[in-house]
Amino acid sequence: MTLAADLLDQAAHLAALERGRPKQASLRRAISSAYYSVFHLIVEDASRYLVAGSRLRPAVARSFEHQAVRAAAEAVGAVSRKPTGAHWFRPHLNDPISPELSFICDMFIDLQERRHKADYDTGATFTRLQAGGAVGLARHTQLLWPQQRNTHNAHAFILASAKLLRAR
Amino acid sequence: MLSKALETKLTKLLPDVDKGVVRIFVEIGPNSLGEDWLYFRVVLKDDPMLATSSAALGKRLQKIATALRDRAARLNVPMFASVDFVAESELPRQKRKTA
Repeated sequence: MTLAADLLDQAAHLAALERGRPKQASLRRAISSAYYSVFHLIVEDASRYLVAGSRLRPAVARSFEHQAVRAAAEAVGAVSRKPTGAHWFRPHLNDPISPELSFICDMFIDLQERRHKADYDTGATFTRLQAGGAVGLARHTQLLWPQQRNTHNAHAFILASAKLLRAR
Repeated sequence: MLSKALETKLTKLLPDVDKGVVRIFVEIGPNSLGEDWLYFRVVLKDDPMLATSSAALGKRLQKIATALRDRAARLNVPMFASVDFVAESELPRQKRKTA
C-alpha cells in the first residue's frame, strides 16, 4: 500500500467513526487526511516522473510545496475554463485539457481549502456528509489520476508543481 | 449582489444538475489566502448512499461540482468555485425549505 492509499483508508475510517453523533475531531481529521492522500498521490508520481533513481525520490518529494501544487492546479483550471484566453501556462499544454485532469486540479484546490478550514478554523462545524463527501471525492480523484498521469498535460502540471515551469 | 443572482440562476437549473439536489446556497467570501472565492453549498436529499465515503459517491459529487463550476464560468464569474455538500437532514431546521 502506498502512503496515499493508506491516508485515504484512514480518512474513510475517521469519517465513519462514532455512529450517531460523530466527534468533530474525527470529521476534521478525515477531511485533512483526504487532502493529504491526494497531495501524496500527486507528489509520489511526480517524483517518479522527475527522477529515475529511487534513492533520490524522497528528497524530490520533500521539495514539493503545497502552494506551488495549488498554483499549478489553478493554472490548469484557468486554461481549461477559458479555452481562448491568454495565460502563461497555455503554451505548455495540449488542447483540449481533459475534464478528468481539470477535475483533479479543482479537487486539489478545493480539498486544500477544506483541510485549511478543518485544521485551523475552530469556529467551524462539520457534518458527516462533509467529511464523507471529501473522502469520496478524494477516492474518485485517486481513481482518475492513473488514467491521466502519463499524459502530456499531467506532465506539464507536475513540472509547474515542481516550479520548473512558471510565469515569466 | 452577484451571489444572490447566481443563486437564483443556479437554483432554476437544479434538475439538470442532479435529481437529488434540493437547494444551492451561494456565498462570496475570502479563502485561506484572503482571495475572493465563491462558495456553493449544495443541499442533497437524504439518501443511504450519502452515509458512505465511496468512489461512487465521489463520482456523483464530481458531476455536480463540475456542472456548477462550468455554469459559473459561463456566467463569467471570475473566481474559483468551492463546492461543499450537506444532507437535508444535516441542515439547521430553518434552512430546510426545499427550493
